[in-house]
Amino acid sequence: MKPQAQAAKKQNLMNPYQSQPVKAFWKPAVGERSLSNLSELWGPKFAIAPDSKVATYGSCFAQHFGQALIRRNHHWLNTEPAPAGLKPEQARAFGYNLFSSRTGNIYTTSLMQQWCLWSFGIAAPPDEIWQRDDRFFDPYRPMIEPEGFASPDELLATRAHTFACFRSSVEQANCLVFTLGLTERWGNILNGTEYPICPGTTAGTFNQDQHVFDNMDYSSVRESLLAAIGLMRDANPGLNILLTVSPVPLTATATKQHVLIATMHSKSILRAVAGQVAMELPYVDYFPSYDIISSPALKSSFFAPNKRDVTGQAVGYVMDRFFGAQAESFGPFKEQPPADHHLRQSQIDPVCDEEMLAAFGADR
Amino acid sequence: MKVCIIGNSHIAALKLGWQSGLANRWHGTDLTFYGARGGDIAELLVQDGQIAPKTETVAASLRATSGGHSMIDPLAYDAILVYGLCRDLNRQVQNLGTPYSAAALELAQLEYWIGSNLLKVISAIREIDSRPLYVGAAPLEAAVARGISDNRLYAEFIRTSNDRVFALADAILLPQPMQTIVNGDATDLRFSIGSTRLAVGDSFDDKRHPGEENRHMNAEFGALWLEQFLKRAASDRAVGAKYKTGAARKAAPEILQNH
Repeated sequence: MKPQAQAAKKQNLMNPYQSQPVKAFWKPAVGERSLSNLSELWGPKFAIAPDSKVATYGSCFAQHFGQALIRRNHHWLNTEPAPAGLKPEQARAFGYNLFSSRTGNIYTTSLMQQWCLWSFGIAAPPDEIWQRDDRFFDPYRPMIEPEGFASPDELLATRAHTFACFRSSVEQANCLVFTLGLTERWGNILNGTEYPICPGTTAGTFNQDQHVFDNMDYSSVRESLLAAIGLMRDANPGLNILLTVSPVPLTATATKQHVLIATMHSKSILRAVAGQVAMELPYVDYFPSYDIISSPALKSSFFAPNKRDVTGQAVGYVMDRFFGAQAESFGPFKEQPPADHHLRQSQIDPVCDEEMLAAFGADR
Repeated sequence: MKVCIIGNSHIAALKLGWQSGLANRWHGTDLTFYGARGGDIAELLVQDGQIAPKTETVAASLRATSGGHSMIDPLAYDAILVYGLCRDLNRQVQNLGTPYSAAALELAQLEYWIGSNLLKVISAIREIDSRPLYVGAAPLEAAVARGISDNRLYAEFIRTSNDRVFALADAILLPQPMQTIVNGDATDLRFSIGSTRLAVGDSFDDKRHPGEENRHMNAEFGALWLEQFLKRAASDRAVGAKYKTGAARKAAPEILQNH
């Protein structure tokens, strides 16, 4: 007899559901509640106090997380700040203050693994550099320098600096938030590396003999996520990891499926892996921003008219749940003095490389 | 040589330096200071061919610092120095020591100067006068020296600022004396000891800055800075240095017309 059934028998109950809390039942927990009254959506495993150093990486949606931390005077770790003097929007255009270092979007778990391997010196990136006229583009961060780099040396020097800053953020952080965005990825079969975006869209030239598409399945997502987590924990054994899944649908799919179906396929895998890994590892948690925003119970009210962009209201709602759950589980945190104001923006428009796919999708 | 010095609280060090004995060595040189604390000095407008204060507070400060003038007539002077009116210069120098792209660095430098009050004052002067104009940035923040100072990044910052910004306004940004710099990006702490507030005619006049103050410098620093500047201005005057006189605003639309 299974433990739940044994417990039910012991308590002389008709069935195990009778001992379940209210939140386990759709009608009282969702159906009869207004949006503002939904509660207990998340029970955090570990505290993220205002003085906890939090690093954020991942897809576009991860940028909201960093901004929310700043707005609440939490310690968002920024190991690669922009040059002093740049306005906030200029810094963002140069790829600063979006994530904890200047990695650009890290959409897939395997790309995160690649960043860990290169930053921790376990592997080295290839010599590949893309060129357009007299400017040079980093295949692994193609959008961080708006006009491209002045020379290959400049590109490589700034990339080496980002490796050091990425490493430093992992080593310093108490918690690293990683937002999983995509399963679809593009790689180079000659050097075995993965690009954050298909060559020939934002920069570079597509070469069908070199550039290959792959749609990661559950086991490869899980395998590379565990490998990345392992590398980060080797560098910082005390690191907690908070996984989220971006609710933002795919801009375009390279599969033969309809983009809506491809989105659901992709997000379902990411959601399943994130949840499973969080269940298995005590230092990994899953925050259900994806679930909250994408739930049919919310009637898609959290998406902009293009049915893709997540609204500021949605981000605010989700982050209120995040901080509320932290306070419920670990008690109210002491007020912190305001953090770096120059990083604070009332409403950010996340920098999203993937959106370029729409622009380069032959008038679609 | 008649010299006009316009600035904020940082000109207190220059004035004290001038009074500490420098004036005795520069016979025939007449300095007039026009100052107001903080950003007030940028509250100026052009009126009847002179620079006028926008507020009575600034007018009172100008009278107190200049010995009675509430209007500035640039044409009455042989040389004009605009001094202070910016902050956190250290971070700009540190930018150059970080692996940023040239494009990001250049943009950061432009934004830094465009956001400073220096260009506001230069812009006002340039509406009236196109003759020699010297600029002195606020001193680097003070710090304890750690070994021999490598000042190359500071020198590069001054050079590129001149090339990208000040040359467009027919102005020249002067460095602070190299012997006052430590750690490549700071002023030697000894020059901030005993710094005082700018005397503008109120109860804070000439009062010592708090102990932790490290942005304002003392009379010794002021004397060094001023002497270096006066030598340069006198030399330029002697050789009749040709400045690109004329419509600086036309030459620098993006820089000056923002102000």
